[in-house]
Amino acid sequence: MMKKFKIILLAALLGAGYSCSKSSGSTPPPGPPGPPPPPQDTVYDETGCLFTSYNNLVMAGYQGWFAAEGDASERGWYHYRNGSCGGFMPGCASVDFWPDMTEYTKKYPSPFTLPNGANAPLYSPYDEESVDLHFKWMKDYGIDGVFMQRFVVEVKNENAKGKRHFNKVLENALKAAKKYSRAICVMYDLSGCTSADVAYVEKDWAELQQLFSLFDNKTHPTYLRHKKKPLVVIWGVGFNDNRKYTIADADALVGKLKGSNNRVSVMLGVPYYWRSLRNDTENSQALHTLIKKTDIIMPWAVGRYSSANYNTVAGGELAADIQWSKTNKVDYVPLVFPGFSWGNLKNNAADYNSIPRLKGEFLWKQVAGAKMSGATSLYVAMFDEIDEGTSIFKCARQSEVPLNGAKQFVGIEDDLQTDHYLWLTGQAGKWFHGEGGFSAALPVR
Amino acid sequence: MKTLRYILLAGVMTLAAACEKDNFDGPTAGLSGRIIDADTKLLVEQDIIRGTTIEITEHGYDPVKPQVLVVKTDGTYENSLLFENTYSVKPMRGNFVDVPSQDIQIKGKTVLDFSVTPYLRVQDLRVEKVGNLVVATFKLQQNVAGNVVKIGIYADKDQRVGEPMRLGQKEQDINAPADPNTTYRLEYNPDEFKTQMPLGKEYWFRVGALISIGEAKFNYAAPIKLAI
Amino acid sequence: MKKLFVIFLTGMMFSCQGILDIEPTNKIPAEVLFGDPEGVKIYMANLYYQLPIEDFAYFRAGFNQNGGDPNNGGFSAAMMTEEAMHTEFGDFLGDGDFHWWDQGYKLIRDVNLLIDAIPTLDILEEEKNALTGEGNFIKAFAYFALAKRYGGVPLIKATQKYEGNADALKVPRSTEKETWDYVLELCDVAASNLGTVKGRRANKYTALALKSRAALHAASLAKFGSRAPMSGDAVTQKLVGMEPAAAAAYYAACIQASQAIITDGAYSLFRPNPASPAEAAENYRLLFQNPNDAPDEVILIKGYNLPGANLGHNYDIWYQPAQVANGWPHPGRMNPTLELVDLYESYTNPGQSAPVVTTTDGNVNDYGGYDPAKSYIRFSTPNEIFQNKDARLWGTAVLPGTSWKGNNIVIQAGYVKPDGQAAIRIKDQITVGTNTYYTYGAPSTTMYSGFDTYGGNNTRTGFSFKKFMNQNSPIVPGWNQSTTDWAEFRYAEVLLNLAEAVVESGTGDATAAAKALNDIRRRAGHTVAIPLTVDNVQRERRVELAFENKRFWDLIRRREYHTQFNNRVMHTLLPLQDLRALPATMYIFVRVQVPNSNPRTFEPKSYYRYIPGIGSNGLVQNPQY
Repeated sequence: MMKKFKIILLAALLGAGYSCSKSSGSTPPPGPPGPPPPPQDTVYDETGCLFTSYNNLVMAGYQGWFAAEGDASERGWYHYRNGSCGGFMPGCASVDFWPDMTEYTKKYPSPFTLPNGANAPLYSPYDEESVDLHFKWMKDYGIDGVFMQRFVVEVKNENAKGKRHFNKVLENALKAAKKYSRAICVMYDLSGCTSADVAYVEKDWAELQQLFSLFDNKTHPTYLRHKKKPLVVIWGVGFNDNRKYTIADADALVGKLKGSNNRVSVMLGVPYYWRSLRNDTENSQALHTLIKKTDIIMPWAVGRYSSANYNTVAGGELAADIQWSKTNKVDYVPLVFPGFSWGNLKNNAADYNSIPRLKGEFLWKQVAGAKMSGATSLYVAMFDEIDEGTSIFKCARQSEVPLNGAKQFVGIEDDLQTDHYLWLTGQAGKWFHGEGGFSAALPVR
Repeated sequence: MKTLRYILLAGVMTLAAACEKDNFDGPTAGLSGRIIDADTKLLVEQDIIRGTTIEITEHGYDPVKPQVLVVKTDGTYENSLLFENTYSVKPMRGNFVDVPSQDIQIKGKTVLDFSVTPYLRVQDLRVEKVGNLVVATFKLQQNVAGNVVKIGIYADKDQRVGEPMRLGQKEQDINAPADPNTTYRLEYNPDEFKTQMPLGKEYWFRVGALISIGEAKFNYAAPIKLAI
Repeated sequence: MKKLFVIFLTGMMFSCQGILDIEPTNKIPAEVLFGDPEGVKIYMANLYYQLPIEDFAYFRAGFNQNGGDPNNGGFSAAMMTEEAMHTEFGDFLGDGDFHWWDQGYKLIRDVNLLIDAIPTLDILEEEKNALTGEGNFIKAFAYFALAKRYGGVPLIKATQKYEGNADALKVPRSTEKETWDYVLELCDVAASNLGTVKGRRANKYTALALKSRAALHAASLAKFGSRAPMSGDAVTQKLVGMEPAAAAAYYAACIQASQAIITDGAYSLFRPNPASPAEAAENYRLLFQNPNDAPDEVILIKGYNLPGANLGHNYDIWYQPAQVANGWPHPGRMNPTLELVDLYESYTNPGQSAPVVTTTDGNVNDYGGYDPAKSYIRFSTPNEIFQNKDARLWGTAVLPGTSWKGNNIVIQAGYVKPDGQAAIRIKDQITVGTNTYYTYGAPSTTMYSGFDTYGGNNTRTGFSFKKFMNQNSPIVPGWNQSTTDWAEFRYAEVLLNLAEAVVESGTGDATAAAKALNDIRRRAGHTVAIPLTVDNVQRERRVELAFENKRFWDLIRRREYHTQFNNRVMHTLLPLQDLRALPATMYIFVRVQVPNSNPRTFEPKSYYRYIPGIGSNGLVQNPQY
């Protein structure tokens, strides 16, 4: 082990010397003949693993960032509350949708009341029971699994409660994933990071592996693998919204995570116009260089189109994206989302239902578009994201949402069942698993 | 007399100088190739009017205006008047999934094929006379997100028939994604167009479909000759 | 004391470079130009002359085509739309048509010069305000003309001073949105500085009418841009194209400007309540024969006071029917199409286009030509078939067998012989009993106006032209002899802009918008109000504003050109005398493709003109040029 390390070091030094001499124009000094053979890829025991590839899977993103006043996380109404208007009370919230609380066993009374005067309770993902229920739904409806979001700025050492929260939610999820045979994978979200924060991911990732024995095929037979290695996701690379970290920072991180022996497969979360390096994407070839080093890319499509212009926007991008990825031997997963609504988060009534769900028509249009364009798997944004109203899990219908002072909540369309978007995502799952009978026509329940 | 000679001489000299000045080498190189369906290996049929274009940008000049080539109806293209140099070559505004620009050295007669995925494939096509009508039946395979805007059968005296160049047509608006299980059917009535295309002769027919992507061109099956 | 102004033109920098060495011709002291009121008046007259008004002298080669050699065959902008065909030409929009670049920047330079000089002038404050208002109106008009042709353009907001470095004067293109925003901003500055006096110069309402028109144009581009997506550098840099989200503010601006004009009540419709359709048709004709007689409706007139080169225009010689040519060799060029004629409503079926029905089966899509087996409807006059159609049809087109300047205008394509065989579009005659009948309705070329290809003088669509034509005096057979004035802005357009902005945006006062729509219809003799819908507004706009050179831009801004003109052929109505009915005089009609015409197709790149001179001005070219 020690010896191998020394050889690598030597090779690195030699490489540096070579490049220096090249730039100065003189001939390289004579040295030991030939570089050592490249290190072998790490080999994992995948015996008993249920998900050895993202291909043919339909998975969702799992925020798990909510907390309830009174739960053990001690984070108050985290992510339900809205700091810009003073907390969590009628007229002030950060969520647009309200979870359908019927099946939860552990509930917390909230400051909101239902139209009938009863209290409108909420759940906390800090509680094992609630996460268990979510994974049970995934199994019931045929959704393959989820990507557990890990917000780097929230799991830093100086944010002890944040780190404890996300570790506990992950622990709950790992347990439930095993119980219900659902795929699970860690997804780092770099939003808000500095260069130093990006570098911290390497440390956090090492900690997680140790803490949960993540890659143990017996302990976590459903941890998602891809190309014979466990998968980890780095989200938020190449966006041109003035982030405090660079593509080079992400490149360095990917290099460290993979190591010299390609320890993990990496999925990169990139902006929608990553291929042509325009609009939401930084105009830098370094992004393409980095993408080619990774194993999967997943472009962020939330907010990039609505049902009205999906065909115009995605028609030109999606198939060409997939073609580029094939040419460059990177796998590609398109994102689909049911709709978008963040009127309460933004304190702006115009933002309620800003991308309408149209009873699933919008979601299915994307599912069919992805299928026709040659995609083999899907990323659904998101399972439980009610701040931005992209959630697919069971939410209250429009006539059942709590009162919200002068504002409102957005519900699932009244003539649908509260599980409609879970069901519809499950239909997408069947289609991507290879079942027949599906087409661009919206499935009828 | 002497003066006249001088004038003549001056004239000849001017002429010679002018010849010399213009005596650069002409373009000797050329680029040609085919647009090939990556799956079926068939040429991708195009339109003669408003067809797919290929932009050829010569390196070493800035600003430089790209030369635009129009791909022929059969899916081949050629420009035989290029200077030897490095060029960026990119098909633009076509009827297939966008392919990236390629830099190539054009020297002599250079061949560059593009392997592409057409937006739509017209499959299992049958065009036949049923009574007075020309009936086309076919299936559509869609390879991108979007709607099929319309399908049509187009007729002309010229083999390069297509949606932008036809004397007669039968079209149907679809405005939905192609259904792989549907057999599409178009009935063309020659009577409607007999002032332009008198009955009793042979004409060219081509079946095509248009995807809803911006600037997209029709996808076609190969033209068929039929007497009506 | 720095009162030297450099006359300089963006886009022409290199070509101007040589001139820069010659001091006296390119630097003009402001006090010389604007020293006395007469000087200002002359300067202003020249600015107004340069305004890009698409009037009687506007053709594919540009504006003011009434000097030099004005012989362009009479091929008008209307003939590139579905309003009309030329008797001979089958041309369509070319890359070189309708440009206005160098001239545009010359006008902008000239008006910037004026605006810069205003503070130094020894005139009253209100006169300064008026000049400021007019200057900004002219500038807005100029940038509007540039934006609708080229998209985003370099914005030269003030006089450029040449200080030895030509590159410093090069201004890149602004985005299309910035350009439209600037046009509207200039309109606002103009409106707030201008008074309400009516005359031949801009007032507050002229500026608002321009804003109404420009805002509607911008809103439509934003809303409908996705109907014809484009790609390329100019698109990536947003030099052409706007986001759909931009539409709302532009529609709101159109509504605001239109309503400001309506609310103030300074203008109204000319003769708004006719007693009969016949009266409505005559009122409509009079409005255009002399817009000066309709000061209540017309907001800005461009005058043609005198005949002569650069003074008069050529509409009367080109477009009146052949029978009244009065010795002029090339009349009759404007042929309104069957498409346009079909569009007009019938008073019997309000709110619907009323296509001309010729057969008992009512099929109006059969263009297969005359067939003795078909059952044609017989009419006792050549124009009975148009009975009950909107008065504006009668005021816009000369219909077969109607009177013009005391002549019965004969437009006939042939006859059906007693044996049922037809002779169509060939010169022929037949004697039945004691009477002789002629295919073209009369024996000699001076006695009819239709279908004979002789001289290219006879309509090939079945319709000749009336709107703008001077009925009062015979044609003077020479160039530039017409002195009919042009109504550039009229109240009816403002009403139509409002109606469209309200119905397309779903905002604003829908009741007022419906009233605007129906007031115009009432003036045209309609008595039944129709609802405010997209289709109703567009049909109304097309018939009310026909031949006012609006349709071309409507097709452009609503991104309908490439779908409307996709292998498009226009159509003709052939009037035939049916000799089978003798001794009764009866006519039948056949709908056919315009004879000798070819399909025409609009190329989407033509939604923008190419930017001239990019080799020297270094600007980003528009897509696909």
